[in-house]
Amino acid sequence: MSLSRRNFLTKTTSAALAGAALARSVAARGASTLTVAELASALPPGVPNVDYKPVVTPDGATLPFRVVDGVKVFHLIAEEVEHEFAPGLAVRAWGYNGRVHGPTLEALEGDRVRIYVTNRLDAPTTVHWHGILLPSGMDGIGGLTQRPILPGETFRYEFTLRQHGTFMYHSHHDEMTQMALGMMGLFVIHPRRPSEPAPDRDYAYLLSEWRVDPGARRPDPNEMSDFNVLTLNAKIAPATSPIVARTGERVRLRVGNLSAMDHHPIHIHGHAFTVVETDGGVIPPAGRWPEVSVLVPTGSTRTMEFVADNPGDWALHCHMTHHVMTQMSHGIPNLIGVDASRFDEELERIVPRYADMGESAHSHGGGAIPPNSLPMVGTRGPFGYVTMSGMFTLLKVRDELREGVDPGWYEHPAGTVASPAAATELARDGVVT
Amino acid sequence: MKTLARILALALVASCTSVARITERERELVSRELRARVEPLSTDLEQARARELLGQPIGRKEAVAIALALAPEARRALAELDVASAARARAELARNPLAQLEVLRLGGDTDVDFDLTQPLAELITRRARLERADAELRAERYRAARALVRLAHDVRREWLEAVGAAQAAKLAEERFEAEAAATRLAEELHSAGNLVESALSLSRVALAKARETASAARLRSALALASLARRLGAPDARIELDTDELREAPELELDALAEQAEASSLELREARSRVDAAAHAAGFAGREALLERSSAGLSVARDDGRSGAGLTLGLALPLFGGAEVARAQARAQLELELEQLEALTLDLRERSLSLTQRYAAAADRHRAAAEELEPAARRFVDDTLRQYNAMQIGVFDVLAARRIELDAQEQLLARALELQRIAADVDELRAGSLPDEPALVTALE
Repeated sequence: MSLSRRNFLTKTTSAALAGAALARSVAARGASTLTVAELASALPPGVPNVDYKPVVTPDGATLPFRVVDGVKVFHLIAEEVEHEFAPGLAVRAWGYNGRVHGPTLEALEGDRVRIYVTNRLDAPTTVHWHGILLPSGMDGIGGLTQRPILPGETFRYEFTLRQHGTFMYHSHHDEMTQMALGMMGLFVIHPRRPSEPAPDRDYAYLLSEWRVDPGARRPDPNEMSDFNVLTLNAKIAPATSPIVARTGERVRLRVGNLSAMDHHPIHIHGHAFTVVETDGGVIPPAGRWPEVSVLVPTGSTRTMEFVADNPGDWALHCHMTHHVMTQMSHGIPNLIGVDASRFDEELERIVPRYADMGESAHSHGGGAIPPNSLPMVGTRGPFGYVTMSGMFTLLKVRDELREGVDPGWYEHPAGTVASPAAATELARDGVVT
Repeated sequence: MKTLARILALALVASCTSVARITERERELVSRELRARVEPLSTDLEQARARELLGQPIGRKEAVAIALALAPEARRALAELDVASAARARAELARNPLAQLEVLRLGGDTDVDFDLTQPLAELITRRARLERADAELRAERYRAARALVRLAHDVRREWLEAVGAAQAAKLAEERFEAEAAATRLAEELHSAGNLVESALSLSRVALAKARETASAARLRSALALASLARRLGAPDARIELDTDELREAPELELDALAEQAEASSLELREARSRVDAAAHAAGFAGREALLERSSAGLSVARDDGRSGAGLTLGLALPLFGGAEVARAQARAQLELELEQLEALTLDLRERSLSLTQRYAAAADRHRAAAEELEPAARRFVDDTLRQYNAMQIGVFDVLAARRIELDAQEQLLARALELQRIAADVDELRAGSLPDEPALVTALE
């Protein structure tokens, strides 16, 4: 297409005006470190480990890119994926590039990005760049800002990143189905000119929720409220990898939530943290306050920072108690106050062959359960069974760490582990049990 | 007179010998028929051995053997055959000649007339009457054999019903046990404060219904056993059943059932024999009526000191057409027998066809129950138990699944019984006895 002088002036004037408008918008939201001129111009693409320290997506991956004519080119492929939440529970999900969730897209503020999306599903789809400021036609809303990407088609999304922060992408066509099947990922944009020092550790999590009936092999997108697999980066404990930090290191924790119906109060043990960003922008230091839990609403991200100053193995989990149970059902009788083993006895009268199936989970036995299920499981810990799964992982803080190696269980200094009280101690302190 | 006495004595001995011989022969023929038509083991059990068998768990073959040894119906069938055998022996014997002695004293003289006569019909129709008697005896032999075949299959059916009732009672007992266990758990949960009153009440309602059902099933089982015991001829026996046989579904090849049924039908043979008898009777009925009360013989007389001998002949005068009436009656009887034979043939074909159709439908239903419904229900319970183990559902959901499985097991039992009943009917038909038309609705349905 030829560009006449008149057209050129019109376009550059329009771009300058649009850039100025965008600058006002993002500046007001505190999400950009760029000048108005920079916002209106093309900046050199950011280089990982040079211009920014890449984020770590535990149990996830980062999407590679190529630079073509100053533009970072990514290629997302929407497809069906065999995904394992944890050994023993796998599903046919929908994701990107063979992963669930899709790989993390990572770039530098001011980068021009061109993202090709190929649809290898049997259904039309789109990709929405959640929280990212971009031209309306690139927003990825099927039927509203574009026509859906039909099976077999490849669409191009292209825009310049005018902000920094933690964002997400997800299908925005038949969202209820496609997001319930896993079509989402993180989009991290690093600041071109950070106002604060980069953290020593930068971790990113995407929270989501699923309905997978024990024995089923595909998430049920029709579920509206009773989700039974709650995931951190599409994994459940005990398959969630721990995050680590050396004592004294500053840790950034980015958490996005694309659960269908639930918000998640993310709680970190042993540390207090500060929420420094949302997906709306940086929170001015004067507006921050310390927390031990932060609610991450669905459709939002929260970025927390803390200094890992307390060595140990620390739980990091959603504080909604049903969200740290896996494949939990809510329609069973309340057994509190009754002898659960009596149920097994009587069950053998109801179904005589039940005796051959082993004891049930009701009485903490190891009876036969449906294939491909991890109902009500927990995690093995150094002191026994940890009755949490789902949105649960560990923060391991050590004085010494070998990069890339799990430090194992924390070795507690003598006298620092809770233990049975001795009779002499009880007597000494006047405690009657 | 001595000579006459000797003749009479010899005739008497000959007569007795003849009845015993015929009876023995006929019983042996019936026994042979039975052995060919009812499975081995069952036709010649001694009564003492039959009573010993009653003390053990009995399968259907044992039940048949016991009944043939002990049941009054078996003895009655053979007694009826004995009566027919005697009738045949009697038919073989000539009727006793009529001796008439007339002594008249007229004045000083004594006149003596002595006539020795034999009815003319006896002499002229003897051969035809013997053939009729043979045909009638054959008919009775087939009737007796058929009665025993029917008894054997009636016993088999009674055994089936007793086994079915016992298994139904067992299933009802299992249902009751399941409901009782669930109710105990409901009570425990309720007393712990974890279950609302209405849920407990519902459990108790289900338990009460299961108790009533189990009680009724036990009664049906006891009545079926008592009925079987009566049929076996041992109403006081405490019978224990060997029930394994019910599990094997009979596989029948019924393409040629109608031909097989016609070839082996004892009823057809009986009917044909009765046609033969009627035909023979029709052949001599006119002559017999004509010669009724007519006789011929020797006559000896002494009159006025003179003696003489000669022939005597007595003729009944055919003034009133009795012979024609007798012929008409015999022909009508023959027509009747022919009609019955025809009707029986049609019945056999119709029953063969209906049994073939019933078997095909019953086999299909039984296959569906045995290969699809019951295994699916069983798998459902197993899957439910796994879900229970996984704490996805509670014990009352397991009970609900178990109810479905018990329903399926009851349905399979009903289908197995239906198939076995039809198999018994088919076997009876092939064994030569036309089974009754089935009731449209069976007890278990």
